[in-house]
Amino acid sequence: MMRAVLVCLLLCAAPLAQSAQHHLLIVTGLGGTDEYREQFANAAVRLHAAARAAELDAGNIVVLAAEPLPDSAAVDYQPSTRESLLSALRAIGARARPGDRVFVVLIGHGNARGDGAAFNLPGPDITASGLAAALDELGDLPLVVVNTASSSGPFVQALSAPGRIVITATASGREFHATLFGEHFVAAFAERGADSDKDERVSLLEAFDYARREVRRAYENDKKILTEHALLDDNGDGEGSRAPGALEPDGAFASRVFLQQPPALELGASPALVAMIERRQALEASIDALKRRRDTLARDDYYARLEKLLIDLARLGREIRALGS
Amino acid sequence: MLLRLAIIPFAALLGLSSPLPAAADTRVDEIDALRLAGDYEPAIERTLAELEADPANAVLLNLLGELRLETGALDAAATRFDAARQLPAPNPVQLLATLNRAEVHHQRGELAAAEALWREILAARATRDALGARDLYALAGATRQLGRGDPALFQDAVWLYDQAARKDPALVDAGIALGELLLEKYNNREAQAAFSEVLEVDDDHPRALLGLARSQHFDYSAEAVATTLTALVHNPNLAPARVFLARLFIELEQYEDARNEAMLALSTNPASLPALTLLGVLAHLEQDTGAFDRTEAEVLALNPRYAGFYATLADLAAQNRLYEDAAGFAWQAVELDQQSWRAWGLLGLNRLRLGQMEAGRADLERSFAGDPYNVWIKNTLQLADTFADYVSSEREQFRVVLHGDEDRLLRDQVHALAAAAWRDLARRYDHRPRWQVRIEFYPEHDDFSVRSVGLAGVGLLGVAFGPVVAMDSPAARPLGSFNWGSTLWHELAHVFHLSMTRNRVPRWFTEGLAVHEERRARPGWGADVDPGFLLAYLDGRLLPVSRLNNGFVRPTYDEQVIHSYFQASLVFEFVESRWGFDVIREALAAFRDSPDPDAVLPRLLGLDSAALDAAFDAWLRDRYAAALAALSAPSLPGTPPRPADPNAAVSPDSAQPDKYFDQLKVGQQLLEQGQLEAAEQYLLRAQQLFPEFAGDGSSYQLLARMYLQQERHAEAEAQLAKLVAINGESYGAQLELARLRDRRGAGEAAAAALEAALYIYPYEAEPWADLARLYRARADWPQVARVRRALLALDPVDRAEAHFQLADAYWRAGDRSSAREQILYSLEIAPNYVSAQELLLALVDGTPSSEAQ
Repeated sequence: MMRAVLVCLLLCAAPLAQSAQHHLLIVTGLGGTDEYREQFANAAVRLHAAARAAELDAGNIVVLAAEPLPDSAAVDYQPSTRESLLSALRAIGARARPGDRVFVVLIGHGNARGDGAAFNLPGPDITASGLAAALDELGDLPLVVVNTASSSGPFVQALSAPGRIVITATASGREFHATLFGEHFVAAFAERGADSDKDERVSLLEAFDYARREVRRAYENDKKILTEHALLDDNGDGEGSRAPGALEPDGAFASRVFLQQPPALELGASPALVAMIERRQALEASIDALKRRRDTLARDDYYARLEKLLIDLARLGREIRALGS
Repeated sequence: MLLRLAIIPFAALLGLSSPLPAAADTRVDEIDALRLAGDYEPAIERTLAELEADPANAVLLNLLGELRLETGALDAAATRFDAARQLPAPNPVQLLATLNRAEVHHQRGELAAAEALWREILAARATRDALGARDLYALAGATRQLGRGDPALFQDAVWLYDQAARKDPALVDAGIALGELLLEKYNNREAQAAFSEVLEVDDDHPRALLGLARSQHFDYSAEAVATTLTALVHNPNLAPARVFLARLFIELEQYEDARNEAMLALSTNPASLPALTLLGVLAHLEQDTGAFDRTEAEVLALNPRYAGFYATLADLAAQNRLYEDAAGFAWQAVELDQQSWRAWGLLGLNRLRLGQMEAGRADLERSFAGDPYNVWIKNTLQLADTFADYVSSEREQFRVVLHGDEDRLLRDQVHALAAAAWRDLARRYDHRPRWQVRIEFYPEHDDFSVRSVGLAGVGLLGVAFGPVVAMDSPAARPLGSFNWGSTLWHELAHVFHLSMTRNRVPRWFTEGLAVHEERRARPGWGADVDPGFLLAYLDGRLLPVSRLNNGFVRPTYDEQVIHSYFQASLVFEFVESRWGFDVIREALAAFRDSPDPDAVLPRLLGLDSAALDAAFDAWLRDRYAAALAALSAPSLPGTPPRPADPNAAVSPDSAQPDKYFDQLKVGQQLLEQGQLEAAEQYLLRAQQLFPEFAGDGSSYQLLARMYLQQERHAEAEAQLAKLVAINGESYGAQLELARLRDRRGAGEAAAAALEAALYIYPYEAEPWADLARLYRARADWPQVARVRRALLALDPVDRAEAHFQLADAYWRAGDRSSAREQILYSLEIAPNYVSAQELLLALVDGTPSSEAQ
């Protein structure tokens, strides 16, 4: 465990801070057919395993399932209903400390009616406005809500708020076909390949990007017209982006948020190491600043400047690794 | 009567009030009946006789003018029309005679005089308060002609023809003209309705039948010939029908028949410009410059402004693959008549076929501005609007044009294969085409279809115009139905044939030879024999070599075009095996200047046509002797073989050991029942009976699947290897074969199978990744770099890794500059990616790749 924490300390760009806790609520909805029941159950089990691998405390992971999960998964879960979902949120609110982050992932089908969009659960569905009201009761806790269901687009506007990341599988309530997004979003955490910046963690933005691309690829391979367009909103403006990015209005915040439990500060780190890590953060900031100016520079000039910064960063990385070992 | 009284006030509201139709004139009816049957001389004599008794009868004067016009006596026609139109009111044909007089001017190229009369007719619309059906018909005709300068007028013309036809349903000329105009403006559905409406009134009206035939031809229906012949049964002297039939014969490359029809048209109407034009076309196609010059002079003497001569030459030259000639003729047409929108369109289309993209597009814009109804032009311009989405790259003699989404994936492969084909074909044909070749790939089949024929829905895979090759990209076709590599090879073979013959090569010859070249190029490429082909042979449906061209240009059964491609390719297998390839080269050289292409091959082989047909038949019978016997129905000794019924029921008890379908079907049944051991015997026997067939449902496929199920890997691999050596479109078989070879450590052979698979479907990352691994294991870094470039083009989620891997391959291949570029791209995405950082430092520090891990 210590080695893992140290590696993360050395490699991760996140600020050094006292570790906050991550809370994850996974909810599966009604499948309707065996195919979807199995698909939703598998997604919940895989996400649970990925969260454990990301060092979330087992006690901070709550699973509510509409259908039984396979025994082999050894996942504790409760039946999912609107009431159990609301109750689970209240319990998390009571348990969480300031600075903790709450993740809510809805896996299932949804629909959009006259009274708004809803996520389909046994018994009454949970509507976007109903979920918004329950989340508001969590106060200032940073929140990530992912609704992978069909017709989930309206959840963006309903749930959007400063400090929240809201991801939906579809762009609107009219995209009502069963979605592929959830399967690929979970795969982003459960499999390799989504960590595009190679920092050994998958950010919410990376997971979103991965799922979006894989969904598009799947539709293209099947020669079908894309009927789901995922959205991400992380600036609280209630407008989801189809193509968010670290340098875009939506995406900058999501690029710095990870499912992975943030590391605890290693108290024994040497001042030299800390100084090098601070230098590295400064270089990374310079690289980000240069990327933002990319369009204003000639191509050759941009890459010449970038190369210089990257060489410095690479040499510093070597020194840090040498010191760490 | 009540009904008629009710109609008149309504018509008056439209400004179309008219006196009731004149009382029927039996004299006119009788003359019209003669005219309709093509009895022009008796009709003229009878009209002259009637005019002696009634010299100021405008209807008879106009009728005589029309008879003279239809029989080519333009001066006499003009005199009669002038007389008819100058008679004082009430003159029921005043406008019609004026329209006819304008037509005489028009046919002589006196366009200003014609236009003045058309405008005079239009002016009558404002001054007259009563317009009859014939007046409306004349108005429509004048409006239609003036539409050349103002295309909005065509809509008015349609309305006026329709009004004329409604006003007097007996005036069939209005309905026919309406159909012709709609057809001319590419509205075939309504054109067909207009002709059908006339035929409901008079079901054997020759000109309506001719209209219907044209409409059928527009829809590529083979019925057009029969319908035209029906029209000629009713009027054997209908010159326009003879001309149309001549044109159909030209399209079918039956030039003698075409000439006969054109001459028959001229025997009725010696001044028929369309008939003379077709004689000019024939002279051009047969390279008879003397005849061409004489015909050209004759046409221009009759009408020095007749752009239709050159436009038709351009059209039919293009249909015969003579694209440079077509562009030249189209240019002559527009020089003669700047308002020949058809010619501008032909000029543009053919310039695009020659790769003159900017000029061609400008011509099409000009054509479309003058005639916005032309669907071909509209479609092509819409396609041209998408050209900005394509990326072109030049290497050696090729400019490869790929859609931006496919460029990085396919560019290297297309260039490499094109260069390989070029080298191979140049050596084989001892010839280097004079063109830089533009190769276009279209990911949407409809776009390719528009590029090749102007319309969506064509069934081709590729087309070679000479300097331009256009084809489907693999994205345009269902997986397993298309091998882009073999298709490109096929089209490049055409480029050689077109260059060597100056585009004068018979269709069957170049198609068959191109398929033959495909089969030479790579194992499995090119068409293969299937049961349907041999059943057609047994059924007597295949054509002899001497008539094989008909199988391409006028197929008589569904699969005949496909069968003809394969059969033609066999002709070259036969010729090359018996006479050598030199004779094929000589034939190509001979086509260039030969007025009789059909005679070329028999002459060079030292056989007459019948002997060549017989020799090929004997060869084919011998080549597929075993398979033909296995595909024949049981028959009595001494009786000719008949094709077996592939759908006949069969059981293990009834299956005959020497019949392919029996063995295959029983084997398949047993396989489905899980009786693998028994199934194997039947399937092996089927394979023995017809080893040349490896398509869907073949014994190779079934046995490979069964062996895989039983984990008999070596036997499965053997079956798959045989399958792909015959069938070049089986993506799954190639991947499975690669997997089995890889499994036993045969990396080179596995890579070969993967490379072959990528000619079928290059869009899956896994085969590329496997290929990269296999080449990496062999330290073949240039190949690793090529494959990594393709993987990057597949838009991987992990782009930092993809750039890093490509950088690594470049570095190891000694291309430090490209490596440095790629590693920057990688680190731009993932600045802290340790492996990429280390490679960057190695590149900066000058560490040799030999020190790489």
